[in-house]
Amino acid sequence: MATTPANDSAVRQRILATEREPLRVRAYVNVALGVVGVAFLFPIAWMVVLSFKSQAQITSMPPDLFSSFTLENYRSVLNIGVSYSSVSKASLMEIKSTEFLQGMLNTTVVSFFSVAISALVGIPAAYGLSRYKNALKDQLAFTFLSFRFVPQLLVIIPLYLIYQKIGLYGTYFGVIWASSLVSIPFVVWITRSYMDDIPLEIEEAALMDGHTRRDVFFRIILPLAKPGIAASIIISFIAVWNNFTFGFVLATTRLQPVTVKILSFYDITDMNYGRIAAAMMLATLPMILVSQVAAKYLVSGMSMGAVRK
Amino acid sequence: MTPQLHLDTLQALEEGERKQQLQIRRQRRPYTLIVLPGIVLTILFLIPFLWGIYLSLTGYRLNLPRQVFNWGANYRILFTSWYFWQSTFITFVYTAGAVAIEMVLGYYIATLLDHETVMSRIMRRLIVLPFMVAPIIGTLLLKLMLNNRFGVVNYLLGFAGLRNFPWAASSNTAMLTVVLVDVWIFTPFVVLILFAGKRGIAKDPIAAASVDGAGTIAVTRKVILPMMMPTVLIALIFRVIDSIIAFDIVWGMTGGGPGNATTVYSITGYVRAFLSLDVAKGTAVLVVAWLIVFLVSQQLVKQWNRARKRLA
Repeated sequence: MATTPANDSAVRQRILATEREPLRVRAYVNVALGVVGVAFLFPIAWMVVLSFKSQAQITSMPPDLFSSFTLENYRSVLNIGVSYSSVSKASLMEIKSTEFLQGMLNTTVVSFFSVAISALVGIPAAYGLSRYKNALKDQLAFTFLSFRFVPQLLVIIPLYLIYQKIGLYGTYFGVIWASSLVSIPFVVWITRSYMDDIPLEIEEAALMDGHTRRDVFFRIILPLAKPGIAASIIISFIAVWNNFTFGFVLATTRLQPVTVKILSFYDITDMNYGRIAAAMMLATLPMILVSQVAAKYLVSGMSMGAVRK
Repeated sequence: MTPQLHLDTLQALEEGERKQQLQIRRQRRPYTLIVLPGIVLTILFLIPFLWGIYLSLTGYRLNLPRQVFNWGANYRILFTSWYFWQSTFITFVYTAGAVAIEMVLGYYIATLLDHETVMSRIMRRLIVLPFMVAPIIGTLLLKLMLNNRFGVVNYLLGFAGLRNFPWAASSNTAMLTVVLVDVWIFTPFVVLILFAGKRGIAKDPIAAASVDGAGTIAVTRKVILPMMMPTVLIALIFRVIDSIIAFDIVWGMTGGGPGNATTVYSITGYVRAFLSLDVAKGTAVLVVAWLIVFLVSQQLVKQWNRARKRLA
């Protein structure tokens, strides 16, 4: 018994050694991916660095990057114990900070509820599309997806006019309702792809045993489709969180999401690089965390809708 | 005929009937499952969408909200106006440029990630990051970095002897700038899809072809590419469509300028509708964009189905 693990690892080592690609290839891949990594991750790394630097450090030539770091920018964005040169400046920054926090709150509320609506509506729809045996099925599924293909503004402009007429303009409900337009197609498409892979026989057996359709759906299909549902919810959550156009046109100042609020930090007359970077960091961090924590679902969800036989 | 057999037949008959009932239930029940979401989606999507098309056939203006039907007069005006054709050309350049770079670069990076090395394991996790940043925020971030005075990019380019590259500030380079932003944000998306596709294809034919003495290029062209074709087409469909109707990136970087250098369809539609208050012509531009998307995606989906059939 005691020798088995050792043997095992020795065998594995040998297999790995034979399967490993030649050093030349590996070196090339590493160097090439290093270049790719620098090019694609540099802006994000730069955002992180800027957000911890003072304006003076950033605008000096050459920029002073590695000497000292400050939390000043975050304190300024969140309005925690910062002193400004003048009273008017202080009140201006206080307004900006309040607006920003309101934007974060709005984005969170809107993302949460529109994904909830989409799940409520989209998961049964996905099940229906997956099980409804009809030539139209694929066509219908494609139609759900094709909602994504309409220019968002072509729906937003009429919605804007309709909302003003029926009094939904300037309400949370209006923004949430419109935003689920972004998330529903993702939920339907990805969940359906996943449910297609669940064999019909499982359901049939349960139905034969006298269970109702509802039981089958809630007790069998939902648990089995959990990874697909998780993936679709994560992806649609990211899509709504990152959306700009809906909030830009349909939301009043009170309801604007953080993607719109961030524009106010981009002030030509008072271009504070560090502060902008800190605001961007705070708005982006949740999604970066989600992408790393749920990397598995993200990749599988992306490929599920796309890479199918 | 023994009673036993008789019973068997009865059971078999019953079984058949039950199966038939199940069949009917299976067909009817999921149908009702689609109905509710169908209604929701209709209200949510079809009404504003159809109303948008209707608006494009009227003389509706934000400051003159009268819906007088004018039989496609907007389209006639549109098709004879310079700004529409300019916008068409700009959208074409934007889409062709961004998608071409993203597909080639994305395929190359996906191939690199398909190896087992230290960097490939790290980058598989990190490559998605640009795609996680909201496009508008990513755009503003790059705008910050491309700033003429304190932007880091021009500072670094200074070492290469390239000083004061104007980026979004000049109408000559504005298009290049927005395309590069699109590439930075959406190449990771292409990589994600193509990498998943690479993982999904069978490795045996590749190994067999290599053993038979086919060179790397021949293997890629004759064996790997046909197997990857459906995945490549899916990535292409998403990217082409999203580029034709792109708004965030261009709005954040240039707002359509300088002058009209980057007025893609969605920008033209937005500017017409909300800044010129001419909702009718704004929606008309967007309807044209939608029709183009519709036709292009239909063609691409046809190719996609063909590529899948070739594999089967």
